[in-house]
Order: sequence, then C-alpha cells, then structure tokens
Amino acid sequence: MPVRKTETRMPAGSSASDLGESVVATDGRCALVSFLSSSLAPNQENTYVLFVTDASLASSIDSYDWLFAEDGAFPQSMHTAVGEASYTPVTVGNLTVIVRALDSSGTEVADLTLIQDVGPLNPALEELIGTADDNPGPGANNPDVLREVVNVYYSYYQNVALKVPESGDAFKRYVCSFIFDGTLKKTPDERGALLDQLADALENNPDAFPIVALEGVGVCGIRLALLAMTFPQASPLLPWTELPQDSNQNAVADEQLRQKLAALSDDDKIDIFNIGRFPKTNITQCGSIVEALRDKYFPGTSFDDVLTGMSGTRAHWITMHYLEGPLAV
Amino acid sequence: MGKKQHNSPTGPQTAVDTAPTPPVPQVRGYVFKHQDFANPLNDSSIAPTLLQTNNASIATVEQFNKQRTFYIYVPKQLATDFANAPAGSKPKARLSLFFGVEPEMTLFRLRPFFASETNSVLITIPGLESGWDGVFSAFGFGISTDIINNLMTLADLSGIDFSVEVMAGYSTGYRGVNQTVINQLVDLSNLTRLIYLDAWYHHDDHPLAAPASPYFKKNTRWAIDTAFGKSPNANVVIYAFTHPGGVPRTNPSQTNQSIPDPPNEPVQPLITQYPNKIQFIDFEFKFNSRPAIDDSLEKICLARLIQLGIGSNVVQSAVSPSLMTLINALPDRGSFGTLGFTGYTDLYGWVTSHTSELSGFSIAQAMLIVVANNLLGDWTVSSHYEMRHRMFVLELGKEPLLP
Repeated sequence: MPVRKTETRMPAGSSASDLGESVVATDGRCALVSFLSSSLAPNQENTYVLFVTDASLASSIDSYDWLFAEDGAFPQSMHTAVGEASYTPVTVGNLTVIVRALDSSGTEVADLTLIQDVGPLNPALEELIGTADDNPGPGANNPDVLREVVNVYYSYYQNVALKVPESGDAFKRYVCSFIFDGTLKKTPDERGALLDQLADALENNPDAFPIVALEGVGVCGIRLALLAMTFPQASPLLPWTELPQDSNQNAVADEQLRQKLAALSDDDKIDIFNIGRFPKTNITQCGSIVEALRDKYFPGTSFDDVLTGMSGTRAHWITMHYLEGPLAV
Repeated sequence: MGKKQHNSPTGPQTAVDTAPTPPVPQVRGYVFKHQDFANPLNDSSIAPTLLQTNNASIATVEQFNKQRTFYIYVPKQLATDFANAPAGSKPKARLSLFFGVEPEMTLFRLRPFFASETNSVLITIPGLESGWDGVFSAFGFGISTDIINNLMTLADLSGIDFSVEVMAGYSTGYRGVNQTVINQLVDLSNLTRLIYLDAWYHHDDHPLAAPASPYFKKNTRWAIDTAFGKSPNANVVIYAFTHPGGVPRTNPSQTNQSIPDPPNEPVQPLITQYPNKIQFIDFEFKFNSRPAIDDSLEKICLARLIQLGIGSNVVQSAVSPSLMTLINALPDRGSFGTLGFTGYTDLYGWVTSHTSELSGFSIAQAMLIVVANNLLGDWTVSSHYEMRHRMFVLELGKEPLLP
C-alpha cells in the first residue's frame, strides 16, 4: 500500500499545524504531524502521521522507515507499510523523530525530521495519585486517564475558545469533561483500533464506513455524523438533523444519518476522519459542537449557567445531544 | 551589485542602482541524522596498514560485513550559521568522534553536551561486542573521511570544512579508535584529544601487525604513537573506573585502593615518553596525588540517573531524603571536570567538600530505584559495579568530548 487515502490530503481549510505539532517539507509535498505537541509526557503513547499531498510523490512510496531518538534511551527504529507510527517516550529530554519514505527498491524518496521535547509529568497530579494510593476513601480513579488528560491534552483544551467569549472557565471545564469521558470509555489502543477500521473502510470497504462510524471517534468520542453537521462551520457537510429520543427509533434514524455520511465524497469523509483523528482538532471540534448545541437548545445561556443552573439539567441535555443526537425535543 | 532597468510610469526609462535583496536569514533547529555504512576497516583499499580480516572465530560473514549505523548531531547554532553564510564564508566544523557500541548518542544524553556549541559536531561510530548474534570476538568499526563527508551532507552541511579534534573510544569502541588512527582513515593533524573511556587494553588479539613489527600485539601503543606523530597538539586521556573489564590491572586482586595498581597496558612509559601529554584519570586506585573516588563517583552517577528519572518513571516523594540530599546537591550534568579545563567543577574537590551528602547516599537503595525503573534503558543491570562502566560517560563525558 503506497499512501492511504487518509494521508493524501489535509482537511479543507486546514494546515498541518492545525492538526498537531508538525513539520512540512520545504517543497511542500509532504508533512509530518504529531498527535501531541511538545512538551510530550513520559509514558504516554504518541502517534505520528506522514501526509503525502503530492500525487507523484505518493505514487512512488512503498513503505516507511521511522527512527525515534530520545535522550536517555536507545534509538528505536521501525518499518511500517502505512504512513503512521506510534512511539511512547520514557524519559525527559530531547526526542527526534525521523521518517523516511521509501520506494519499492528501498531508496529514500522523502524524509522529514520533527524535533520535540519530553517534559516531566505534572508533579501535583503525581502527588495526588500517590496520596490517593496510600490513603482510604475517595481517591484518584484511573490514574492512566488522569495522566493522559492532565499531561497530554492540557494545552489543547486550554486553547478551546467560544465564538462569543464568556468570562470564567466553565466552557473549558465542560469540554474537558468530554475528554475525560472519551478517554475513560476507550483506551488509547481502542481509539487507535477504531481509527484503523475507519481508515481501512475509506481505503477498501466503503460499505463498512457507516457501520464503523457508529462509535464516537478520538479523545472526545465525537460521532462523525454530528461532526459533519457542524463542520466546516460556514457550510456544514450535513444538514442539522434531529434524531428521535426513543431508543429504537433513534437507532434507525442514526443509521440513516450515517448512510448520508457515507454518501459524502471521499474528500469530505477523509477530512471528517482526520478532524476526528487528531486530538488537537478533535478537542477543538468538540468545543464547537458543544457551543452549537448550547446555541441551538439553550440560546442566551452562558456556560457557567449550563453547568450550574437548574441543577445542571442543561449540561445533561447537551451531553445527551452530543452522545445520541441532536435529539428532537 | 547589479543595475536594474525600471519602467517609470511618468518618465523615460532610467537606470538606477539597487542593492540586491539580502537572503532571508534562516533559523535552524539542531540536526540529528543517521545512516548505515560499511566498515572501512575491512576494506584493503582504505585500511591497508592494519587490515581487519575475518575468520570463523570472529564473526559470521554476514555480521562481519554488515553495514552499521552512525549518528551525527549538529547544534542549532552551527546549522543556522552554515545555512545563512554565503558561499566562501561558511563556518568550519570542529569534529568529535565517539567510538562506542551504538546507542550512546541518546542513551548517554551526549546531544545536550553539544547543544550550546557554535561550531562543534558529534559523530558516533558503532562497535561490536562478542556474544552478540553471529559475533564471537569483538571487532572494531571505523570511520573514514568519506563517511564523514557523507554524514555532513546528510546533516545539511554539505562541503563544510572540518577538523577532527577529538576521538574517543568507549568500551569496545577502543578498537575502532585504534584501527582508525593506525590506518589514518581521517586527517589526524588537528587532533587534540585521544580518549580511552574505561577501555584501556593492549589490543593484542586482532588484527595484528606483522610479528617483526614493534607494534606486534600492541595496537593501542601503535595508535598513540601514530596520533602523536601526526598531530603536534595531541593529548591522550585515559579514564579507569572498572576492572578487569574496563582497565585490566597488573594486580587484579588488589583491594587496597590507597596504593596504585597500574594498568596492564602500561601508562608510565607513555608519560615518560610524552611528558605532559598523557592524563591517566584513575578513579579506582590512587594515582600520583589523586585518591580513589570510585564509590563517590558511582554515587554521583546513580544520583544523576534518579534525578533524570524524576518526572518520568520516578516519583520524587518515593525517593528517600538521604538520596535526595545528594541529588539536590548535584551541579548541572556535564559540569564536572577532571582535566582541569576552565568552566568545569573539579570532581575531586567537589567530592571532598560533599562528604556528608555522599556518605548518606546508599548505593543499595539507589540501585533498587534504578533497576526497578530501568533508568539506563536496556543497559540497566543489577550489578552496581557493572553500572559504573555504563553510567560515567553520561556524567563526565562533556569535558573530554567537546573539542
């Protein structure tokens, strides 16, 4: 497999840096994008994707060599059939990621180097986890998820912004709750497996796409059909479509919606896939969806009110819309 | 300076002087690259002086001839300066060659030692240990000027003028150093430091000079004489930290560290022949006026590993206060010196002035943390004595390796 469809284009209107920490070839023909941005956290797996946007270059690529060179560790090399690789740094220091695209004879046709740094785990969280381990009573449930959310996604959810700014941090805290929910529901491996299934469906098995798209994608567990109703913001790919609340009717309507999603052009589906694939855009779009749901169903309400007013009923409904809807009310 | 014709909308064409648009300065990050090369020591057209040949007791044909991985690191300042300088005014590179096993560039964190340098480049050369798959006797891997040029090109320093100023052999890498020097595979005329990092042997197994040669079974001596013959500014630095593996001793069972235990490969004749050119840094036994400080250095190295592990695998609150006392007292990594160079903290003096922190530091306690958390990656072993050999370059490597 030379270059998968999912690695042939950037989402419309986006650049590599919108997806994650990145480096673009000087000739612009390819770009290496990291799911996570520096400083990376030790013991947190990161995924790297080589986009090859030049068709001629893409047609010449047969496989990929990767080298992960981290201070304090052995350099790790790997060979992949697709332009994606994952690596878990273990020590604090420099990390150099080198990808070489090879043709069928093993000759290098492109190479990119991304320099990142690995920082220490959040000491306050480590203290909290350590204290919880040693003491009775409520503690730090699922330290792996806590570490992932706090160490890995902090910069991403700190940067989510409302179209109309509000005072306070209620919106960010609300978006963060979706990250917690998504990372609790699916481990990084499970999230990666789902992305692989979607990429495979886009590549080889279009009939599987609407089936696989049933599950929420990425760190915030975004349903791609809902994403398509809000992206791109100016002209969404799918019209706003409310689903029945009754679970049986909801399932049928959701399937019909996913069939419409599957009927989108390949380019649109690839864009939606990549927006959901990368944590940076996934979290940003989670914020956009949540804001759209708030504007649609509770216009004029601040996110502080959403979280605290009416005993959190509005937040409950927005979450329901996010997970199963938008629901007809 | 060129003249450019402009069309004026209001008048006739005029010729005016314009300065050429200066190129936009580029800011580059550090460059780190790797590439596999064949062993020049095995090539009779490149290394005829002391050709390395294989036999069934050394390695399989495949392993003997296998290409192996070299790494190059270029600090960002040099990468930036080279990119911006016009042709003819490009900066020159001062080169440090580290002959080791293979992972040291990252495992020993050598890159940060060079990160602030303005004109130095570090290249690591692999080596072979006996016991590896298909390798029955350690053998050397060398580097040639051609390989250096290829690596420079790979690192975006194509055509750069460079001088080889430092050559260091660590562990099995002493073989590659000796054989590269003996065969003069690189220009040795600018060499200032030839270093043996706990790897000081006769080098008398293979390859061998002709029996009639004064260097028969004396490759180390041959390399040193060659280096001094080619470079008027060369010095030799020998670090001794472990035996019998690192620096075999004339009295291997001697336990009294307060009296000298000379190495099997003698240093005294070298010191006599090349006065002020040989530095023998013996951490294990008294040598000249310097006492043995092996335990203290081991504690410093272990403390450093734990310090580097805090924030990743190691939680600081899980490290006992007696260990943290030394860890907190450590100066920046790379700041200890033993050669008397300006800008370094004298290791011997620091040990003397920190006896309290050092005496309270338990090697056994520290090893529990180091081993449990694999703080030296795949090179972590349970023998604290073996760890000495594996740790000390990470702590002390900066002073000798910087050109």
